[in-house]
Amino acid sequence: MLVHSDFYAPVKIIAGEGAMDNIAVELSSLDSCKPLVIAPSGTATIIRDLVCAFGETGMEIGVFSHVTGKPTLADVKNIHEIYTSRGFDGIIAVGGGKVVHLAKIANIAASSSPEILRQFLADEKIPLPQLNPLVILSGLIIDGYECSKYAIFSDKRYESPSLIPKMVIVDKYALSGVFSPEVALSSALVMICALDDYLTEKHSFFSRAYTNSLFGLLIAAVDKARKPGKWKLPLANSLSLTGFLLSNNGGGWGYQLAQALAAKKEKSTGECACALLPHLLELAFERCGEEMGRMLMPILDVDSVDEVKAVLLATYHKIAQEAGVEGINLSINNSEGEEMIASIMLEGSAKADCSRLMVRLSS
Amino acid sequence: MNFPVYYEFFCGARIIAGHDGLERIPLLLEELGVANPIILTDKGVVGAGLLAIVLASLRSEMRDVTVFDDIPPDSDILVVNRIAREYKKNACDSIIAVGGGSVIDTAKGVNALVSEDESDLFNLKGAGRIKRQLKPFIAMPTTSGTGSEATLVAVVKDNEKKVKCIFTSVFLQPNIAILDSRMTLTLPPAVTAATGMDALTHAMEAYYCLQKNPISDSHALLAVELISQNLLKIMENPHDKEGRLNLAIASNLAGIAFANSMVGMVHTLGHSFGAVCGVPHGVCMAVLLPYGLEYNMHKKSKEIGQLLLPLVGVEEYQKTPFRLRGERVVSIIREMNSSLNKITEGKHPLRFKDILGRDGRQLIREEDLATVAKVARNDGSIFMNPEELNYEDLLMVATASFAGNPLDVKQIKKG
Repeated sequence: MLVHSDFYAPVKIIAGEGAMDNIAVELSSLDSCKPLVIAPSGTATIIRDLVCAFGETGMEIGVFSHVTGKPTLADVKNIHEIYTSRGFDGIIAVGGGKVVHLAKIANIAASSSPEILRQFLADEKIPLPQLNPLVILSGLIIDGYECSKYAIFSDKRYESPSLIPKMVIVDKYALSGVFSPEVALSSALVMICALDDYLTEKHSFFSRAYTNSLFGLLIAAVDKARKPGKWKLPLANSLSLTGFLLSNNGGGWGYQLAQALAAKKEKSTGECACALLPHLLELAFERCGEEMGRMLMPILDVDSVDEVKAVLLATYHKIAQEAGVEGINLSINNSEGEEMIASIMLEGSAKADCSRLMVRLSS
Repeated sequence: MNFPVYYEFFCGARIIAGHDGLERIPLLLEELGVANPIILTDKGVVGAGLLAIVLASLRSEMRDVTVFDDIPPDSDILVVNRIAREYKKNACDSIIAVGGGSVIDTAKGVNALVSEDESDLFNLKGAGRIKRQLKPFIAMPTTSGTGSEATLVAVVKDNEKKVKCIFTSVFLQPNIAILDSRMTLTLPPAVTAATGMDALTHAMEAYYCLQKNPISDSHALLAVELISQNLLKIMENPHDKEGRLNLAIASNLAGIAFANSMVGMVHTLGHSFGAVCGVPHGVCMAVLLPYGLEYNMHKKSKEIGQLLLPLVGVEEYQKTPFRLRGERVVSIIREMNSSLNKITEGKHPLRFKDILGRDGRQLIREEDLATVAKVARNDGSIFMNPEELNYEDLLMVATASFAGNPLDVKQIKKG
């Protein structure tokens, strides 16, 4: 365990029945009384519920629901124009992935100025001022970065503590749909992030606490994937915690490898995570199975380390099955494997572990 | 997996832990964009040489920084108002708190006052009155127990009105909490024992009380394991830096857990013993924790039983039959208290009857117990306790803990 540590995850989580009803009060506690909602197209029902949640508070809200493809500067300009001309003072992003990335980038321009955003996009090291509150109304399909200090824009990852949202609301009324293959692939990303914490030497007691919660929530959700209504809240909670881990470790080597494989093999990061998971699980059991077992036994409500391992394996199989990628083979050859390892710049035991894993994948 | 119908979780502070955490202060101040902090502390911290360590970690141009080192153990609104005037007079731009719960709570109050440009802290009393980011604030706990650096609450007395004022806001949390092993290395054994048991109580009550949630649970379990592995070890070897740091981390994890899940009966009665008889908070927690576990066992036997795992490890946990795990937790806490009592040569008390005041006289008399029970009825933590408590129940527990007798479980009215 890394005793010297630096951990930061200042996102308030509000989860459960009626969570959305508290959004007006919570925004007001952050000194925001006129938020702009940024949502993907096709979310009319959620937006209606959201508008209802502001009910008789007297707070005015605006809606920008034209997010379709990858966020562009034109989207940012549109949002900035609406935000400043109508005097909004906060943003609510609905869902995950591109909407949240757009909201984070647009918030820089809206809260400070387009010039500051231009400077930041040119050099992310410039310190950003305190931005207006960004609240995420969580969805079920994510890339893991939502609650993190990162935003993806124009295929580049930008980083600043100011990009961390102030709050994430997890409410079943905002979590529509079934446990689809896309949801399963999001779950695979969550699982790989949690395993990364056990496989890295750089973890802290603080990241470990969130990792254990994340495992518990993910496993509870996947176990109930076929029971309507039972899995959404724990799953969306686990998705939020993924950002906490990514913010603090930048993505462990499992997650980074999944991303590198996705780029190389033209697959999604979730699919590549599914291909890596059985190997990473085996490695984690071998490396720190006792510790994982001891930490997770009370959280999973089981009585032995072996039961913990069995539950984790069953969870992986269910995710892969629901995603339709069980037994996926990425056909990696030796030189591709070496290229992958070089691309994520690993050192020490992580490099050795990653090399072993690539050998397995290529055989 | 425990998934409540509704829950909230928040830890806004950046947590830096290490043997050389203090050396990061100059860089952290720079990152926060400030250069003229006021350092708040107390005479005990100065006497232990800790302020000197903090000052030495600052850049040379900052060594004549404003210092207020006269914060009393039970801070008061007037002290907060006075420090706020000092802050403004010296054109300070940030706060560094070095101390235990009282110093950190005072610093929270000062920060609210100077940031909101109020002249009297009383005007900011209650929940949610503070709605803006406050001045940059770094907290450095010098005890491993209160977890104040992780909470959203400040408790400051108003001695004139004879009330404890509670201030709650997400903005009260420090921006940064630095857990440095040097800050607790010289803590006296009895204080180490009491504050360690305070942290253990935070973690355990967070795990079995009514407002628990999946994230506070994992923080609580880790805290219990770290305290179990390190408290007795550093009592035997107080200069064990690794152990001290682990305990500081455990206290912070427990603070995060209880700040998000609240606490129960141990705190209900503990606050009251503190208010009525002046017993230090950590001592109250140590004496009352086994009673809190016993009192709630019939309702939370699974959760209390699960706490055995971080206390004893997998092998012994598996050997212990399910129905006996909770009782084993209670006996381990009593064994820990006994060990702490022996190591401190009796300074860590096992029952309230044995606590002596500064004048050497018994601090609590049997006739005080009725008042303790009466006052406890109004403590907010009573609502989060799994089993209900009325005046008779509180008096029964107070009486048993006064005499050091185990609870007669037949007397618990199972609601």
